[in-house]
Amino acid sequence: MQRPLRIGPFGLVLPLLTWPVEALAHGFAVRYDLPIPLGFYLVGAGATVALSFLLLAIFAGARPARVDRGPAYRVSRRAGWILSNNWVAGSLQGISVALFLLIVAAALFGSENPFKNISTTFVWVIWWVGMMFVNTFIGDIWALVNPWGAVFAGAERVLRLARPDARLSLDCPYPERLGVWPAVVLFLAFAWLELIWGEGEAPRMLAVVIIGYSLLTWTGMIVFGRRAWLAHGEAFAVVFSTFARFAPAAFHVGGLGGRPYCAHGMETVEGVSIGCAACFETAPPAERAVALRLPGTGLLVQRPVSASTAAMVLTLLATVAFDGFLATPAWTGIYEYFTDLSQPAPWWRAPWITVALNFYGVATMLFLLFPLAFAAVFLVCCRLTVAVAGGAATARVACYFVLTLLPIAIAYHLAHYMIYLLLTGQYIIPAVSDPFGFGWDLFGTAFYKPDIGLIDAKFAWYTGVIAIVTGHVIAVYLAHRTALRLYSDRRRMLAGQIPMLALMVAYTMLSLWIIAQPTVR
Amino acid sequence: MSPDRQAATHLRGRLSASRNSLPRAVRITVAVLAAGLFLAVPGYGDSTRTVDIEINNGKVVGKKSARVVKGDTVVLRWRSDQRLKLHLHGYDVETTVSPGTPAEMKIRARATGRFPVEIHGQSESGGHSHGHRTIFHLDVYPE
Repeated sequence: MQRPLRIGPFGLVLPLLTWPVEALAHGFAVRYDLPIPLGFYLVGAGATVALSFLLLAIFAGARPARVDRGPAYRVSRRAGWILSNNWVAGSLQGISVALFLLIVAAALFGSENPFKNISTTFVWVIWWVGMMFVNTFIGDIWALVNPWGAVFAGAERVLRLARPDARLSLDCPYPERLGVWPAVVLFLAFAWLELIWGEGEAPRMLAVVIIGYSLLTWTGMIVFGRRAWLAHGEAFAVVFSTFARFAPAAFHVGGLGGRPYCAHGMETVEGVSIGCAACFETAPPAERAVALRLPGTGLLVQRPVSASTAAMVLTLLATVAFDGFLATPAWTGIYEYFTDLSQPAPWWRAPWITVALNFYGVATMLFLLFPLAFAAVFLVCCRLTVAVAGGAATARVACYFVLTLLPIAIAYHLAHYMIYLLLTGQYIIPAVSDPFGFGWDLFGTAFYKPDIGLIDAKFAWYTGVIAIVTGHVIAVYLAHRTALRLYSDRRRMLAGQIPMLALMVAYTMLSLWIIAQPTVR
Repeated sequence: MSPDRQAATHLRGRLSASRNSLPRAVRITVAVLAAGLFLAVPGYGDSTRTVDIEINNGKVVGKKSARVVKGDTVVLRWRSDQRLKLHLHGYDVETTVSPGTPAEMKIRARATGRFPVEIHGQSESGGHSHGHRTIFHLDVYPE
């Protein structure tokens, strides 16, 4: 609902005075979520446990050989044709590159007030949160519009026109052993900037980060080739395509022969790779299609994913949980405990410790501890699975099961970020009319004031709890399907999924607990 | 198949038929729950809530949050031993409080949420907060 806009001199000056310059909240702006009330928390937790047992009872009747049909999907050749059409792909990438340039220009030259500059709202809210939802619930759109890839491909084309035998990329063979580790490390760095550093809300700082990351990405592409770097090193391509494994639509490329994995590390089943953007780009037009499937079924794999992909998934889970945790009173307690130097213990008097015990030091330690703890708990669970059900090595079991945890992370994302996207995201409305904060009014929306009453807390509570419980059910079901594939013996199959079920219940409870905590900043 | 069930199958989608097919116990439970909800939901919050908050040395004495219901008219009455600029987020209300001069923030709680009150324009608070420190939360709950 848009309120009538009063554009008197007072109306012009007041927002300038009162628009806050915030620090440290999701990279940008404050959150207004109310914690879910105890009743919602209890119902959510009860439903999680009850549904888990119900599903287990249903699974008990499943026969391994009969149920395992593998993920089912329909193939749309027409959608594949549309997406590989040069005009469609070109215009999508053109828009994306233009937006990218606008954002960089605004960050460099626009207003230094993050609420008056389009770059901050666009990067932290619309792109980072919004793109994640688009990729999760539609398909890997990011692979189609990635501006870093598009700029590099454009440069390659121009160079080829000028000197047909020249190559922009050195095309060094990408070391297979590295997997997606570069993307994991870069994503951790990005998450640290978003959650702890907090200076990324200053447009100039944001410009430095964007330009720095762009140079790094293009260097990676020059050394290893554009597609190799997009598949392994470009953090956002890897993160968004990981979320897109859940999506109902995915790239479908056939005719790949009998290799178990495609040239870009995605598994192939009967010569078909699903979800590999690089395969889609290089395949002959007749082999390009789009697979349509039930959401989540893309997380079922025939072969274990790589250790680095497993690390990527666990890092995603850990960072979203850490993000929520940073706003809980529990975090404030830990922070105050470590930084309370009014009565220092003797061993705390060492100068380096006092230096490290500021906000950044404590938060960074915890930030690094979270993924390690998640990985440790997950591996213990996989070890237990092997102990009760036997069979493969722990690491192999881990790489089979890890993707089934993703729906829980997605559900938590939905519960956690929805209000943020819908309320803070509204700052994009005035920003499109005045992207630089220079006082323009291109579309007549420059004076729009975000409507904080757009969604009611009750609506957010219902959606949050329903999303978390639904995500849990999907995860438990996928873990069951994975167990069916791993174990041919029925008793082992059932025993084998109990540790994973316990882990999922614990993780879902953590999600519920976090959204039941009052935010303290 | 009982005649009742048969009717339900044939007339699927017709309200009368589907209502008949519901067991009486379910209907009674739903009715009781609905009545209970109707009675339990407090009236639309339209009262005026005044909250007195005292700040001592930049910190709120006592409770650091207030809970109101959507629709309430809320008056936050501030007293402080130092001169401070206070800002209520979301509703975007700003006021300055000085020793001996209480200040008031008056809003109609039209939007639900948890809205922080921050001290603005202070550099000595330090830490990571760049001089913007949250000292209080106004929680507006749905009716």
